[in-house]
Amino acid sequence: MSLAAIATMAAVCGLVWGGFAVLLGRALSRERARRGSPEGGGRVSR
Amino acid sequence: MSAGEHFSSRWGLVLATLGMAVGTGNIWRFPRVVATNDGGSFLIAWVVFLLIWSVPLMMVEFAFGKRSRRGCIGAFATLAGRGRAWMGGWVALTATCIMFYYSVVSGWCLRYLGASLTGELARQDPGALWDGFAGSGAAALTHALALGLAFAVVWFGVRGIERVARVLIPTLAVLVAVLAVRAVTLPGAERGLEFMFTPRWETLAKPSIWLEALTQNAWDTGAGWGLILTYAIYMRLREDVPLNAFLIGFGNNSMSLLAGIMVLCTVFAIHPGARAEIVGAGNEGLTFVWMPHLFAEMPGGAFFMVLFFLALSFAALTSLISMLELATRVLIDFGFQRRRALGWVGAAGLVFGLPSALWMPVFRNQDWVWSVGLAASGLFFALAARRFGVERLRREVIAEGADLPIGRWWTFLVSVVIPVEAVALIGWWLWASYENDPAGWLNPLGGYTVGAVLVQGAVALAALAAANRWLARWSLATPAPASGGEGGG
Repeated sequence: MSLAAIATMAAVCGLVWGGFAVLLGRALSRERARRGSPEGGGRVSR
Repeated sequence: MSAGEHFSSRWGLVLATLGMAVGTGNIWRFPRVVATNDGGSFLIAWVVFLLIWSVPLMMVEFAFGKRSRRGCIGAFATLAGRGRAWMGGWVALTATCIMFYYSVVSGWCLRYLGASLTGELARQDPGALWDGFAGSGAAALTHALALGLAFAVVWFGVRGIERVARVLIPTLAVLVAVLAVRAVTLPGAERGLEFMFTPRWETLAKPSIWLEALTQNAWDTGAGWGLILTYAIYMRLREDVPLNAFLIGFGNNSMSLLAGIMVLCTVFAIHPGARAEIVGAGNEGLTFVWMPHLFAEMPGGAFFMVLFFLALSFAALTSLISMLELATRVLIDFGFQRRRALGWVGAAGLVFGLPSALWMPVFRNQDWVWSVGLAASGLFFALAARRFGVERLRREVIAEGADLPIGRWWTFLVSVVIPVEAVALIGWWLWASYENDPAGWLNPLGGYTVGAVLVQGAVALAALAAANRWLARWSLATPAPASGGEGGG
């Protein structure tokens, strides 16, 4: 494979799949925080 | 009964909406469009339009559903004023007309899943099987079967949709990933990767590459269809909008990328000499004729062919479910009980889908007309948001409960960029259609003519404009359900 193809593959796949993974991680942490808060109906850890 | 309906958690909403977004367009159209538009250059433009068309428009839809808690017509009447109910009517009509023939497509996928499971596809020439099946009574039966399956899910309301999405979408992701891994491990697959990802910088100057990339984003992310708006009705009270919109846009395009790698690596590994013929065979030709050929020549191909058609069937059905729910929701706003509304929508789907099931020219005509209609739907969303106040929408609805800060760049995209994109898209499609047949471009009965779009679009717009007062009154007649509650998380 040419260098240009490898670089484009890394950029496009990195942006789309990497972006999805980062967003998913952020959503997971937000939901975890929400569940842990009294507003979200969860218990507050002391 | 709708007052108590809501997704049980963020994941229920995200998976159902991903199910809506990921459809046959990701699996059968994306790889073909990448291959015919210079691979890497197209992908760059495709990522750009994910960010300046799909995601901002998804946020508009989420905001409309979250704020109004009504289906397409009621949401437009609430946010843009009663005088704009017809715009919501257009969005609902376009998605419903697509549902009529998308059920036929879903039926094709189920038929080929059955044929791959029984070994019929391995015994028979796929081309002959397709020629004998498309447009036949058997296609009408599989259309009814697909519609019946989607009907059974929507019958149980949002909880039914959520339960099915929780199973089908992760399974679909695994299936597509397994198929992609199988494809990249075939000898010669690297030629497919090289073709797919090599940028040809000079082609980035061609407007057609950008318009094709915009088209792909408009069709396969589901942005501007009214389907996200419909699912957003069932969001929790303080549910996030921006992070969910980004998550769904990136999730959808992640699946497209996997599908592209799967198809192109398979083609280049097995039949590199016939690649132009394969990707030029159209969506149906690639999927139902060439893919079975390619799987037949692959080690373990019979097994992977079943996985391929299973993935395609799951993708099609989860999208069909959302279309059925959209039309049902509009009737619920009109005062119907859910199951009665669904009965009417199902009956209409069965009857109005039959012409597309039985006659391929009708299918192609409807696919063309309502695909153009979708760009108009995107335009109407942007115009309605402008009417309400795009900045106001951002501050009052999108910022509320947001897990991702959204700046004024979004206001600019929705106010200026999206309307320009939508007009450019409609203009380009109509121009391409004229160039395709300069002698018969005005023929209203043609499969791919400007005349077909103008006549059907004008009749629909005239009817909606004439009925605007009633549409607004009926869609706002029943009180909006109270925000779906907080859900259990």
